[in-house]
Amino acid sequence: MEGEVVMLEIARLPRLGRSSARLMVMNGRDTTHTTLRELVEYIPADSLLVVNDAGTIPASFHGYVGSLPIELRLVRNLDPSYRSIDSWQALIFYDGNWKERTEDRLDPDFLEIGDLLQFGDLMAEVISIDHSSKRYAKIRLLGDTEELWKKIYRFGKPIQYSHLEEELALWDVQTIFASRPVALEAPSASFQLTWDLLDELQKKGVNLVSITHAAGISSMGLQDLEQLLPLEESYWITNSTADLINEYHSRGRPIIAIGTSVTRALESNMTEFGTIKPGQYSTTLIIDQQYHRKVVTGLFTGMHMPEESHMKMLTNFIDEERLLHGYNEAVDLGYMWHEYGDVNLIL
Amino acid sequence: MIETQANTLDYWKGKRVLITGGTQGLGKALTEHLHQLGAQVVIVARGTDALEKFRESFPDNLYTIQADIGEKEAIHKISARTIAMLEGIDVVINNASSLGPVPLRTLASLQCEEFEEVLQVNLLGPFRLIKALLPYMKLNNGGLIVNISSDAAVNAYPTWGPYSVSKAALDHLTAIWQEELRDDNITFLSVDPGDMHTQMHLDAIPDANTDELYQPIDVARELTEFLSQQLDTVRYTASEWRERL
Repeated sequence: MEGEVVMLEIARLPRLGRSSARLMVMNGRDTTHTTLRELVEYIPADSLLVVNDAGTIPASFHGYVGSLPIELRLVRNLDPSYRSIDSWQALIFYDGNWKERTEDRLDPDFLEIGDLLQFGDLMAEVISIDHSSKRYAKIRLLGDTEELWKKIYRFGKPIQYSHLEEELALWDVQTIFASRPVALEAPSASFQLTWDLLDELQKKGVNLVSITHAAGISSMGLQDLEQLLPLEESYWITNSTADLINEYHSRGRPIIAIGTSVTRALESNMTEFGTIKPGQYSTTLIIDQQYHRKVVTGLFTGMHMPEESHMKMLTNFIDEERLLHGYNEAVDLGYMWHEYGDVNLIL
Repeated sequence: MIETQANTLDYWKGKRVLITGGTQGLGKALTEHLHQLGAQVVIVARGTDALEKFRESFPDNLYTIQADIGEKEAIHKISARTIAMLEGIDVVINNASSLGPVPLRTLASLQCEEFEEVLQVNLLGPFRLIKALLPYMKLNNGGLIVNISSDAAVNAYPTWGPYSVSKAALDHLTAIWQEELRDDNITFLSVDPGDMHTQMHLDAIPDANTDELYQPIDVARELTEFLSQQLDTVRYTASEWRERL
């Protein structure tokens, strides 16, 4: 994406529920800068908000192959239903710590198919290794499902962000909607929301429903692999959620997605079935400027870096020039970027 | 009586229940009885051996999590693993409790850290656990949260200081949650089970006349029947809830 966005302020502390967060509202022809606590003013009373209730798994494990130190990151469950949690697409790095950027991490050149990886009591076997990079491998965690959940939560840590000043704890990566643990990185659009804010919206008449979307990782650290993102991701839609979305859709009422993961799931489902159909499905949909949007009318999201694929999705909701103009204003006003930063509503 | 039993069975069958302190006393009895009624139960306890025994005795529909409810770090692990294994949650029973140091001591003889520890287990632990499980309940048709209380929450018994204060605060916490979440179809209850013949009671009152104490298994049977009813009050004393049976 071309643009003159420079000198971005990064949110470096993992703080949640800041109703004082800055909010950029792009509505019709206006761009307004306000704070999140004023959100209720900008969401129409007849709107439906759709949130992602995925909890975030501690998907990063530090351990060894033999005596060589490695980090394993779970990237995608190869069972999209999550009934079993043993087989994963994974990233494996040599050594390193959370303050190093993923881009600077080294491949585990020594890795071979059949190698046993050890993270405390959690063992994994390397099933296959990608031909282009040794860091991209399929692994199998050893144990039954109950045992694996126990060990994942015992030995895993949240995938870290090197731009933060603090190491993330498990509670730092759970949104206020976090329920079933299926996300590998947090669906961070809702990090700054609070139930008090949602209560206010509901009092106004706004309705709230949830889907579950197994949000995947944001960075692979290598250009070749980066092009694979976003990977196929599982999502679940309940009957009641589907009914309500279909009702709002048929009446032409606003349907506002909280986050890009929700947008992908709903658009993918509507594209595939022509209606929102309940059940468990997977999506590989990429939403860019050209994509013909079918169900989501508005998007609430964080402040994205210009080079991110998420920015392409934003240009589907708003003219690129206006988006960049707004982003430049946000830079001047000192907005904070990234997962724990400020927020943007596009209607 | 037969009709009530049928209602109770109907209510609990397939219910997804989390019980803290599930390997001893009332928690153990509730776990065994709810399992018998067809509920899927996750129990949280500190002792690995007792959890292992449970796991062997109940291979199906019962899951165990070794954790200390008083530790902040344990909470999201408990909530996530519970929802992962049960694919949701319907009922939470905050039963785990700490008396603090035994033999019981007066407040003047108590260390501040000992007081804090009791509050972590009896008050902050349940608060954190409810908070972590709340999203699922708020977004999926509500639920039932039962906090096990005591008459010490109301009466000022010498030497019961930290336990008593924690239970009084837990009662109030229960009442405030209920006021705040009235529209979310989540029922909050604080229930005093009465004095029971448990290790905890013996630790507190070694010379208690055990003939005058309730047996945990009887309390579990009656309590599960009581909880399957439509309830309109937040706090129930030992006699109040029994009157509803």
